[in-house]
Amino acid sequence: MIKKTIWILVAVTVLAFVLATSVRADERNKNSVQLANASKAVVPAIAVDVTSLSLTDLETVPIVAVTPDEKDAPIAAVIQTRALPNVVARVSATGTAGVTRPVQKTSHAARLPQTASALPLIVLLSVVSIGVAFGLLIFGRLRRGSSA
Amino acid sequence: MIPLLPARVCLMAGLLGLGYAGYVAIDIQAYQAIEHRRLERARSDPSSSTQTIADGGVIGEIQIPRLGLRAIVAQGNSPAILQRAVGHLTGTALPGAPGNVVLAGHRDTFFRPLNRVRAGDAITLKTRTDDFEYLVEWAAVVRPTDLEVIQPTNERSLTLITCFPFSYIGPAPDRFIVRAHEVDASR
Repeated sequence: MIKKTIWILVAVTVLAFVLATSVRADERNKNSVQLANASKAVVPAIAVDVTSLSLTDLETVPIVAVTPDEKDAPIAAVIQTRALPNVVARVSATGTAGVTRPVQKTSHAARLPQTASALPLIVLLSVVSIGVAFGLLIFGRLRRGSSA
Repeated sequence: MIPLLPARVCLMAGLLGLGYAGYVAIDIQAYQAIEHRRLERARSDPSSSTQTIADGGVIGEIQIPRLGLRAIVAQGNSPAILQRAVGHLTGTALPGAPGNVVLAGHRDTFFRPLNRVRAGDAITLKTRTDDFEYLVEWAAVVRPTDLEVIQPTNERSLTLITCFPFSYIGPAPDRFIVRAHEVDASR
């Protein structure tokens, strides 16, 4: 008898929890649907009740899109979900004077193409090398002149 | 003791370096002149209207009249291609196709004039079959890892990529991006 009562209590508790969760989720959906109806636009909505979730769970919580005709749709299908460009500084129409240093980082594995040739470095090293050569020659002549 | 040997070695190394730089400069000029002539011939010959998309194949020519920029555009962005021409990134839209046409060029050769680019500058992309006119929308400096700028776009866009800062010697840490949109997208 006691065992049966305990089972009934557990079942009632579980049922109450499920009902409460769905009511809260319905409430969330209602808000999203109202907003979608009023704005005649697709509105993002959280697919589950978030009150019982931790902060880490919130990072991965699924998001759906509610359309004006009260239907749920995959978020990627109706709303642009691409990240904004990691733009550091827009250059003004008058030139590049206002360009500042980048402050953000992204985690892409690939990179934009490398667009610097080694030519300026080669020219610089060559000029320095020729300068050193002439310096050494002049230094040698001066030493030879002073010793003679 | 006269340090004659080190002086000779330095002199030889310097002359070799300058000689190599001269060779590269002449090679670029020769390649550009030859391909420009070929492109003009192909444009005047209606039968040769097929678009080359193999790596290294010439796609067309980019011109920014206000900056005096004119360079042949070849398919691909390997160091060998970028040394002689502006490279078209494989996988991005071709001129005339919907999406984002992405071109990369060396900041110390072809795309050097981009340091004076302004919003509203006109860019012409000449292919074998057609001319495409673009207007510069914006320019920005981004990290090399920021691939968003080469993603496809809804409108017909042109994205130019070069290294930043322009006065840097060696591999520069950032990228200078110029985004333009096609003027007559109703083609």
